[in-house]
Amino acid sequence: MKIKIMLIVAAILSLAYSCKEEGCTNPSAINYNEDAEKDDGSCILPPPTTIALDVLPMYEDEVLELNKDYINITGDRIQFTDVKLIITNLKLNNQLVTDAAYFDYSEGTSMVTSEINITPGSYEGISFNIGVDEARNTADPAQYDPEHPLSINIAGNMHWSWNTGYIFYKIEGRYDLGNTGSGTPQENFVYHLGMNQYRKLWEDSNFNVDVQENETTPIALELDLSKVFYSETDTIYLSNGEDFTHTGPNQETLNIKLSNIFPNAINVVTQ
Amino acid sequence: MPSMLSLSKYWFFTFGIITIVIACQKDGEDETQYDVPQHFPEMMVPEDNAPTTTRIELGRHLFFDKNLSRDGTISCGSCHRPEMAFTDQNKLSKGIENRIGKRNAPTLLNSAFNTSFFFDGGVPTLELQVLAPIEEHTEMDFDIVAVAERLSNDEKYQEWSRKAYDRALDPFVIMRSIAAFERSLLSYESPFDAYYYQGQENAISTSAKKGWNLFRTREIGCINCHRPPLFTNQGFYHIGLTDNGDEGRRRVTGLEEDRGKFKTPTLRNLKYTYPYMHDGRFETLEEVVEHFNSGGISHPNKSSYIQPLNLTEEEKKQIIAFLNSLNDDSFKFKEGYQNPFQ
Repeated sequence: MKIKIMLIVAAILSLAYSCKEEGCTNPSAINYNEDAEKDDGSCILPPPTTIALDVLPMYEDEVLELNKDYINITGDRIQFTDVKLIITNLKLNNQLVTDAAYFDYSEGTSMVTSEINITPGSYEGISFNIGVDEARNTADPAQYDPEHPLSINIAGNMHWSWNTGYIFYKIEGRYDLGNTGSGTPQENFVYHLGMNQYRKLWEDSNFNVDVQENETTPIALELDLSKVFYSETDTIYLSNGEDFTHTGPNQETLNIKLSNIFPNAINVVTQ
Repeated sequence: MPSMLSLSKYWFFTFGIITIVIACQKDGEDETQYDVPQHFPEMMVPEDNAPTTTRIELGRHLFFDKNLSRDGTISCGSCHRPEMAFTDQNKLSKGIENRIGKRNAPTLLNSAFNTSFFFDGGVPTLELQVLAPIEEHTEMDFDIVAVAERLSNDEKYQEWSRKAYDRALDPFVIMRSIAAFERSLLSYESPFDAYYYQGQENAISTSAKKGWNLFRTREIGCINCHRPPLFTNQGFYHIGLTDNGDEGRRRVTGLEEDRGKFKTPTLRNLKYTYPYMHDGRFETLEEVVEHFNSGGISHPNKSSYIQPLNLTEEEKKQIIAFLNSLNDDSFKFKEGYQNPFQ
């Protein structure tokens, strides 16, 4: 008897339910149906509002090509074989937009972050750390989600295990001194810069961007590798043995130069 | 409205279910504690790596697993051998393809209490320490992400990993479980422990007692750095050794004043941990005591504790007798310390 009653109730309920108007019940969807009482899975959500940060490696006015010959400021023939960079705490209008981004130029011709969610609006000023902030620099790289830019899965080759900390950037290549040798760059230069004292804040207060709702707004920066060897006050001389650092104490002079010069190589691409 | 009788039935039923749920929880069953004796300091354990039987057992297997090296020829246990107090008794350790490392392999016994790792102290935790030998070119020359990938089809590891850390085997699990195992490696049952901490007057010889008194006098001052009960103060010192090209602590801090400074090692189990010093330059305790007796070379960074001691031959023997009273053979017989693959 009880079973019969339950079956009847269930049948009535399902009939009542199936009589409801079906449609998209999510108010955020572009096809939201305010009359719909039952969601039919048809909701189409608008595209998210995001930014995509692109750091385009350049050599002077052209896009950098790995393994291609260039003549640097001191007249040496050079080739780049690897360029990698970590930035943290990207802020627009002094608001944190993303906590970390990792760029690996050996993986492609451009270095673009995945799309970063952001509130639409007008933003003035951009800043980020070149490298990893102090609190996270010596933290466990295995603690992150495998997709996180600082995770050991993504940036494992940008992490020192003997003296816990991240490599902020790697610039590797070959050179031929004075362009007078064999003509083919054969000596290696290896710049791996890290450690808290060499981290720099990069900022441009004149930067501004309008982030449109439901669109991906690109933020284009360039990393001019020709400027990695000099600034107004410093010059790196490959001829003086300044071709290697793992940020060790014996390379302190080179570490300081690189740390001071590198921020000048990053600029906003003017539209 | 249910009667009182049926209400009490509900409660009884609910209570029963709760009891079953609690009894079936795996976490509680698996929890364990490190066997820290009363006379040792409190052991600091990271919140996300509290000891469980499965974590330690998983770590033990990974510690002795040669799959952690690029060519599958060595494990952590190759340079940290249980029967040698987790050293390898080589001057410098050998990595894959017989590559010679830069430093002498330290004992892992009581390393749970270390406040930094490696002779230069560049790594702050046991968990992070796991990365270095796996990646180091002269050791395993591999990559922990690749290790996890290589072991991903091992069902036993995956089962333990899920039980221990509620996730598949990955770098997080490898680092934590090996650290959990290493924290379990303790040594505190030497004759000196029996004598000094348990009041067993006859546990060490008269000569050793005299050596202990010399060891702790202000004039000789070994105790300044080798502080009981761990017989290290975790500090970094230049002790007047000739320079072998290893800049020591300076490699980490970049400071000239740290050149040639190395972390104070423990003096427990010296019977097993020879040869001595960061580069294994001294084969015997006699050589070590002679070095400290001489005061070593002059160097601007040398510790003011290191001065010529003018010890008599008798006093040297007494100090060595004391040092030998810090040997603890018990670790050799602890099943949980041994290589599970042998």
